[in-house]
Amino acid sequence: MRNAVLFPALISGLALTACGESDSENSQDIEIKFSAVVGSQPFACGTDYVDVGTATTTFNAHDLRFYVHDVELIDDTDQTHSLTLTNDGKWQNDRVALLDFEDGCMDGTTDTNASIKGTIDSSATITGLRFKIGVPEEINHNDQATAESPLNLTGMFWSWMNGYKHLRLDGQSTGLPGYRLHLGSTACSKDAQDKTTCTNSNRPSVELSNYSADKTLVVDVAKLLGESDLNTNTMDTPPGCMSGPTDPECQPIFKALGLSGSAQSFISVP
Amino acid sequence: MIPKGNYLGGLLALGLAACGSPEPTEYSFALPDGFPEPTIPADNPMYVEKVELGRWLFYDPQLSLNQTQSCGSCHEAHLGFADGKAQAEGSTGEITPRGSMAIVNVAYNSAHTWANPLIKTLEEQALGPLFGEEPVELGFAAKEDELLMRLEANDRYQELFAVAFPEDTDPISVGNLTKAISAFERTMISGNSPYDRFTHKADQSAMSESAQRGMELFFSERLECFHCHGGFNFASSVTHAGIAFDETTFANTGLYNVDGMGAYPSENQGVFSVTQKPEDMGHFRAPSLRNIALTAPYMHDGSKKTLDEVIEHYSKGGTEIEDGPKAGDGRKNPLKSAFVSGFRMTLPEREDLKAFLNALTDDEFINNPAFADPFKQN
Repeated sequence: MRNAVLFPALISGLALTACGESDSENSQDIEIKFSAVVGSQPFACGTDYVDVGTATTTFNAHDLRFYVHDVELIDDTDQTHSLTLTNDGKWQNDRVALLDFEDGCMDGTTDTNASIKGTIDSSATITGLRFKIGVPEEINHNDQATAESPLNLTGMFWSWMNGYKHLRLDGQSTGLPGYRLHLGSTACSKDAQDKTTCTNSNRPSVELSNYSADKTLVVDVAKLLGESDLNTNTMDTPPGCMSGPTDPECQPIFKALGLSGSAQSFISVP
Repeated sequence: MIPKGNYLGGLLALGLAACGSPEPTEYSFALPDGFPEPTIPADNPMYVEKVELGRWLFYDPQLSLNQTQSCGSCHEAHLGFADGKAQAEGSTGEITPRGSMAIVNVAYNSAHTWANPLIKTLEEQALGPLFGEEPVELGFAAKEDELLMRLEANDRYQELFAVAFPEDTDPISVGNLTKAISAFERTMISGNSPYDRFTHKADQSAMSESAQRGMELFFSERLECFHCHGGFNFASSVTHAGIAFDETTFANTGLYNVDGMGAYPSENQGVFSVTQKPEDMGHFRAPSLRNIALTAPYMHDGSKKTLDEVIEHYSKGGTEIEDGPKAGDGRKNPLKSAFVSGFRMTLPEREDLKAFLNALTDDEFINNPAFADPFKQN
């Protein structure tokens, strides 16, 4: 048994070297830390914040969670290194990680998670990173009821699209007793092979420079909602933004998330 | 390695025997004449115990967070397993945009709900009422731990889950819950209406002469009813074990035309809401007409109160609404199905057609104790 296990490992090691991966013997553990804020204040589940968005309002959020995938780290020679997620059976599987800033003050889970953990096959100095928010399309429409963590949290199900909420931010404002931002893929169809594809992927791309391992990325709710009027909602549309392509309340959200041309402003390097 | 493996296997076998877990019993469908074998998902085989588990779950008010509703609250036997309401009401009082669909022969649906081409299995469908948030129905979004805790605290469920899912070490799970409910729903097969007895049992007395005339009208090219409500299930989007193709279809029947260009009211735009394809505006699934006399009001939004109103709609080739927010001439909806072109019929013919639709009511089905609320039995 022992030899049988080692032998393929040796072969793959040789193969990697042959492909020109000069530092294939090197790898490093990576932890990308996040911190959620509302402007200048730390985000706390169920806490009132003023001056969020364009209206004079008080906003109180009780859910803030989002998935992340396709994480790549960029080193000081502009080389890109894919992050292999550490499957911990809880926050991360091989393909996707969940960041969770709510502590169950209303509906979610008491556990929270503010970092992504994995390894890259390089010991280079990391100076930038990029990732996508959401559940990747190839697994977004698989059976939710039997999916492995973190894809089995019913609060993240988006069953009407047979998929997931890529991101959710739920709360209330002075004007709206229930404000919900549920970002998910829309305009979905099945092809002849029963594969679901969505024209509006709604998976924001985040690309950040001036990063280093000691920095904690800032997830700013005030920036996400910065151009939203949280006191009003267009009649005949869901309160907040349920990713409706023509919902007026979604337009400033899409913009903040970089889904309508400009770069996202939701997540930044301090 | 080899001896160790065998030893472990032996222990496992002994363990199972010691626990006394009985083998589940294969469920065999007693299919009515003319009914094909339903498609059973490979990962959810039909067992008698699983069906029984599904029945208890279906009728258990613990399956709503506030313990006020079960699946059965919106799918009542005497109402053809619908609820008699234009729009369903969830456990917290939120109103859904569409009506509860009748549960009948759902094992044969190639798509579920009123207008969602993505929801192809009952297992997928069950997640909507359980965990949906917009609107809230049973209210368990982010509360799956509470749901599973309730089930684990119940001896009956402990036993039934263990038997129904013999390969699972931890059988009480969300996945198995949806599988059991789906297995129960697959057994809810209706095929013993007067129409079935007349057609398959040569029972001439089963349908009145009026109903027989109505049947001819139903299947006529003049009325075109059967184009969308055809086959053994009087429905479109039907599948079964012998079908090699996916025949999922949706149609616009000219109920609305709020902008003169075919738009339906924003809360109910049919398949368009899912696909955002302009051609899918106002497209809904043609559900089974079995037990249709029991499931008023009609259409996805309950906007037709009686079968007379439904027949009126189709005879005019659509509905014109003169005022209010839904005003518009559905008859001129550019996306309307070519089969909804209108027809003339006499009043006696209308009565005949209704007599036929009434002959699709299966009393044996709605009174079948196998589909009844077990909490109310004995």
